[in-house]
Amino acid sequence: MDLGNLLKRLKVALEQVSTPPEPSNPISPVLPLEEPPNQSPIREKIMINASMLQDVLQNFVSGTSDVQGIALVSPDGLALASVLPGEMDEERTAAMSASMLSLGERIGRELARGSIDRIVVEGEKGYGVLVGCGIDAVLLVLASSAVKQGILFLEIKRIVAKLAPLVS
Amino acid sequence: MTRPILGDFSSIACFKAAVVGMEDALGEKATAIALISAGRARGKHLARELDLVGTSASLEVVAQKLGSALGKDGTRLCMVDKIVQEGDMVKVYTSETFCSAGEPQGSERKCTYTLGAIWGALELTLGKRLQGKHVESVLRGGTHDVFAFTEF
Repeated sequence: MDLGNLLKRLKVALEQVSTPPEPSNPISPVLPLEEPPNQSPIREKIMINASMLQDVLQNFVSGTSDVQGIALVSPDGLALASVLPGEMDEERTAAMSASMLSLGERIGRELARGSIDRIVVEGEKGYGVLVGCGIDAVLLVLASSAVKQGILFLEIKRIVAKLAPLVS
Repeated sequence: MTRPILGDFSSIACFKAAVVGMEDALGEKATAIALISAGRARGKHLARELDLVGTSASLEVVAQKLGSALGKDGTRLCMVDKIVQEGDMVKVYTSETFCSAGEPQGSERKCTYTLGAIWGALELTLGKRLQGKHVESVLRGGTHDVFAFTEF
């Protein structure tokens, strides 16, 4: 059974045993600051998802040649999980990534380029590639200049397919 | 550089015009992201200045300290009227926020920089990663600008 299917089955199983959140709560998922006694399955589900996200990202960076870093970010610029080179600030990177994708989408609209597939920043030392990861997240991938772009974009497409169910 | 004649304060008119200009150039979403991020950084800096990092002080004391720093006797960003815990959520009741000032009743504008400042300060104070939202607005019938935070 491949990793994608295993993760999907685990998620479904956890959803079946967890208690649904209260409908009046404006924010989901919710972690209680003072944990009520019947909420631990939700907390466990959310913690497992965060851990899964981190593992998926770490495996991607370790297993894909010329990839130097990756960050999964909420649309409003908060870091969900990341594996970044040590000198990079996670919060600043998250805010920049979300802003850039938002700006790129605006440029696409204003300049009649249609919906945006990806945003690529190409520098002399490498690439930064931003893509949407479902409607709930933005993915930033950093790669060295030695990378083959076609393979990089294909790998990014694959990891988006793995990550999107985990963040939806 | 100090301003011996003009002092430390200026009218919100110019800064609000800057915000509107950024929204025109960059879009509302990108501007909001940047302002919230800036606010968060400011809030964290403030929490360190006020010695609130990881404090065991009550939310009432935290509200008092933040209110003092951000309110009438401080930077005049907003008044912090109270901070309460409601179940799994911490709510901060503010008024006269910079973000809402000068807006007409019924305006859709949401707090960004002010939300971020409170958010960043609370994160360091409580020692938790938080998700913050502007859930009630004085521009849309509320008595306060209320920011709700849950653990992220």
